[in-house]
Amino acid sequence: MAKNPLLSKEKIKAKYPNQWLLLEDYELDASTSLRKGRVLAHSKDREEIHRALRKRPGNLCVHFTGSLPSDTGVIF
Amino acid sequence: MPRVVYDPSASSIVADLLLEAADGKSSLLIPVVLDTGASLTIVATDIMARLGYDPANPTLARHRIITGSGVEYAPRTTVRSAKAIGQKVANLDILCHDLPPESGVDGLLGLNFLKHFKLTIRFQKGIIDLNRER
Repeated sequence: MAKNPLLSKEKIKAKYPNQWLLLEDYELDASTSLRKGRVLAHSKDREEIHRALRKRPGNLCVHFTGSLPSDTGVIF
Repeated sequence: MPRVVYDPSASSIVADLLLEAADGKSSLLIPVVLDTGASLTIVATDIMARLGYDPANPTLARHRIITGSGVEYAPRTTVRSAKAIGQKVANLDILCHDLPPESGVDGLLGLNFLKHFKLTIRFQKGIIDLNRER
């Protein structure tokens, strides 16, 4: 089966908005930030991505393209 | 100079954290919140299990976590290396603990990583610099 194309972080965000993603063949910049990747799985549900992650060996990336709603604060 | 640019209007600062597997043969990149209020770095249990650190191992030390909503206990282990914002720390202690999916992250980048460096955050411009002290 053909692999998905290698996409920039910006294109990934545009194509899969507000989703959790599992990426392979990812590339980083000098600041360890994601530059590009190949989408293996995508979902609104983080657990689905974690399940997909457990099944695959190798170097992978979990990425989230969403952001918190403006009326939501974060305290950890 | 290791530098990350982020959206200054965002409600938290998210960075990518690269974690080396227990066998040293692979790594995972995950999103984490930069949190100077967290004494230790926290990573989701699924991520740590996939990296081969076995957070369910009953022999792991359990660390007390004081959060905004109470006290919890989480297994603590040590990763071979962790890299974020262009800087790497070897043998970093990690608490295995899940944050809510709504957080959009799989962990927190805490002080036990950040304290190795000089951290500068320009909140107005959304710029983070992380450099070794001279």
